[in-house]
Amino acid sequence: MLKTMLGERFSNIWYVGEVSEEGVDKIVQYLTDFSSKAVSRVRLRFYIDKPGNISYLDKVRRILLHNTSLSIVVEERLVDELQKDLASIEDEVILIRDRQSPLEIQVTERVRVIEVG
Amino acid sequence: MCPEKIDIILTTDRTMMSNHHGKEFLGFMATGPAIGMPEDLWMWIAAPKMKTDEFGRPWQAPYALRKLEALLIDHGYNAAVIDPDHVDKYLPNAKILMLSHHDYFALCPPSSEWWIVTKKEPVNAKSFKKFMEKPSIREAKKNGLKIIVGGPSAWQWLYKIDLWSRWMVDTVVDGEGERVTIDLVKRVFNGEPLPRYVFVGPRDVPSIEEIPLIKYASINGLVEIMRGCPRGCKFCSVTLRSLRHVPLEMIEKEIMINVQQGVRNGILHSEDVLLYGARGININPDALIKLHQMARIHLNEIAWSHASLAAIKNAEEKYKLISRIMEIVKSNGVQNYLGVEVGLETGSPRLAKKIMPAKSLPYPAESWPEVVEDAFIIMHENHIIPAATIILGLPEETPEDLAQTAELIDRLRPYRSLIVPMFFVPMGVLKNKDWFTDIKITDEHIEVMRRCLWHSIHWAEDIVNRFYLNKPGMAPLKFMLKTFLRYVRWKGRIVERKLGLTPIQTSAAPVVRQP
Repeated sequence: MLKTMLGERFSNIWYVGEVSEEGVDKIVQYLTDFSSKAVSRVRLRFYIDKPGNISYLDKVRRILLHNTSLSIVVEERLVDELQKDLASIEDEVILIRDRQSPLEIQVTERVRVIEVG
Repeated sequence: MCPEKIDIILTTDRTMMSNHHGKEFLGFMATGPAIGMPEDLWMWIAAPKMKTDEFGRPWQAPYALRKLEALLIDHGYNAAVIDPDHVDKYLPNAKILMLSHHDYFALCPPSSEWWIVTKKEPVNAKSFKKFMEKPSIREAKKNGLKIIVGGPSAWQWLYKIDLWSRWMVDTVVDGEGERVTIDLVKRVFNGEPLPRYVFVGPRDVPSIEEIPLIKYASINGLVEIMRGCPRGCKFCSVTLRSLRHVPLEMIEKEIMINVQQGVRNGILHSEDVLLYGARGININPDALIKLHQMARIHLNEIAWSHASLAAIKNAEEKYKLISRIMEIVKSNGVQNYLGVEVGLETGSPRLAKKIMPAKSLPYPAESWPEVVEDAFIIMHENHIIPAATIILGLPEETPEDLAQTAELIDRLRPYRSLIVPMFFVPMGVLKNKDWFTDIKITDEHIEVMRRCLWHSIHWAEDIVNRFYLNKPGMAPLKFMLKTFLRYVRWKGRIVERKLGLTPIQTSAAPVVRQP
């Protein structure tokens, strides 16, 4: 029986706003932390304003190329969906937020907000 | 029976969907630009069209695509590998287009070397771009087709975000795909969003039991005998994956599938064939003898994909195993040589110790040049023809390292082989559009490169005449290759004169081994 990967448990890092070098450094910091805690899968979710805008990958490239130990899934969601997603989370989420982003974020005990920029 | 509608099309461009006239090594020409001849002729030599059935299904297809095809069929999906010239008729009704490639954008060696040296884009990248620009793909995207790409060069998409966006690729999968492919396909069928990128880490690689058997023939009968590598070289990503040995009965079943479909030659694929069945780097003679005896029963010609020079030396010195295996290989009276790719990488013990400390095991890294030379002697005496790679431009490299590499190549002159230099391209450089102009080639690099050139031209003529294309049906191809070799010899001399270099004099004499 084939085990499927996406159905496994993932640690979550979400990112809202313009992706910056500082934000990428934060992601790297958390990935290092995850690796040291024997976490093996991470989901990086980027909230974007336009469907199909993948320019953030230019910044995220260095994370993906340097990683060898973790399974990483990168996904996108429209920024409009953030509140709904926050309301329905089941696991802890690290939410990296660009300070310039005008979005109001409802902080719950499952969301750890890290501000950058 | 192939239905008129295929839900999942698996394919790639022509340079990958070709059996290279049944001569795997000719496929390397697809990593270069056309040199000294029109591009169509170059493509005919490097990557002739694959024979297909009436539905456009290729006779032989890349092994990775065959594995995914089998996985999808086993899970009840309507999936098939389709030749790139025949995908148009299936695209309007397909749900997913899955692509795989060894080198999508010609950023891996040896494509990158060709590009650096000639400043011309290699045909593999041109051919892939031509495929992706098909109006039929753009039209199908408008109707909801999903494009999922993978393969060993999946990482290259991270440097081609403009093309990722332009061609509307939905998902890039980097790593062994067995455990994630079905997830992705289910999402498409359920109308759920796909992730943009997936990296399959070491914990998510499939076990042997999860790897399906191919259902149709692979290119030149390639079958996997192992996954992963224990040697841990710093420049290689395969070493990050766990080592798994494919049981003999699974290998035999796949060989039989190829043979039943008319592919009577086979390539045993592993990063180090001589470690089949081994514990770490301790060779398992029984497993290797059984493997070759089984392959000998079914195949006309056997080849190895890769072997390490240390294992070649160790196998012969400890067990006389190379001689025994070659006796088996030659025992059908048809095969008189065996081809393999080997990693020479450097002639510098200092550099060897730094970048590949375990590559020389069980011998110390300090003795790497002797390991190389001994392995070349063993291969020469046993009619094993290696295509050896050398890495140039490593960050730690010094002129002294390169001088030692040049000296070693001179010492290897008496041994039948091809030696191919490859440039280490730092990832950061690839961000630039004209990255191939940013690589600094030093005088010492040129010395190594021209030694490789003359060594390889010298032996290529011998190999083409006596081993590689010695059957009457290969005469046109042989003529083309010999003409090409003459052109390269002529051009090489012109370039040397232009650079003010005197021809290389090598006085290396064949080594007489002590009994």
